[in-house]
Amino acid sequence: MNENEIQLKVQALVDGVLTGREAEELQQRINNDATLQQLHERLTQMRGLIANSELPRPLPESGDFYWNKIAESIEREERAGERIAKPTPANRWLLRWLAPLAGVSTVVLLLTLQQPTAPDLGITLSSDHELELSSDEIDVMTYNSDDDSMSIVWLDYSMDIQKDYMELWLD
Amino acid sequence: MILLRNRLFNRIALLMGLLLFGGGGLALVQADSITVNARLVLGTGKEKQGSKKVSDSIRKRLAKVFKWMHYYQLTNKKLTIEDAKTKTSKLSKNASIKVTNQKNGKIAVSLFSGGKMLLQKTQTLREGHYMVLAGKSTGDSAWFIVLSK
Repeated sequence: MNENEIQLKVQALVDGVLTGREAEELQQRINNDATLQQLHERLTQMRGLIANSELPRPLPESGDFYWNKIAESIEREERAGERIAKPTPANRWLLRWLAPLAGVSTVVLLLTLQQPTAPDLGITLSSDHELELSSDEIDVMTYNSDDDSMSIVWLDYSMDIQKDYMELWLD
Repeated sequence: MILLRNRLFNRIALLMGLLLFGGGGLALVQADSITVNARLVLGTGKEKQGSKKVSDSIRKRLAKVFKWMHYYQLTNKKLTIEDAKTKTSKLSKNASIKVTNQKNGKIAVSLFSGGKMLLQKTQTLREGHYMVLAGKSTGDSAWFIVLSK
């Protein structure tokens, strides 16, 4: 047995792990060896110090009762969570109707917002002027003279009227 | 003799009554119908010899807004439209208009190109006022459809 093994054995003896014959043989060896005696004493003192300085932490209730209480509180919280997650019949009805309604409303709102709007030309037509375009592809600009004696609608639409006009005459 | 005179008087009264009623009715129809002048005008930067120029009133008004200085009248159609009736007029081979006489001097003008409706404009058209529909034409020119009463 080397020195390290002997030291471990002494520590085991102090901890009360060694019993019987092995403990007696080691005790005899300690008694005959001053170094081992010193080590044994130091370890015994150390153990005593640790044992004395550790604060006792008594449970407020008996162990079983204490853990039962913890288990009950966990179960209670789980039940409460289930109660929140499970909707009541009224809530279920509301969710069944409100959720699709909210979805449809959102889609309608998005479609409304995405609808192409007439180009903002910065010109307001007089109250009795109404303009209706049959095609979104044609851009228009409107103009009203100051005295409202002439209203112009300029269409971004090209017509070869000279040729058309000549063909009309040839018809 | 008295009987004959009475008959004659009755006939004259009836005739006068018919004339008054008919005349009134005719006047009523005339009051509700409107006459719209629809002109197809070409606006260009270059002078075109031999082409008919638009009236000074129209030229000045258009030249005040547009860059073109010369305006030539290609077509002039006079449309007499009764109340709540619509008339169609072909201004060029492809361009035509449909004018509806709505109530209180309001007219609705639909512009067609090659049978396809481009737009409809509704407004009250007063004497001396113009409704103009316009767009680009070939080269540096533009087409104008000028409507007036």
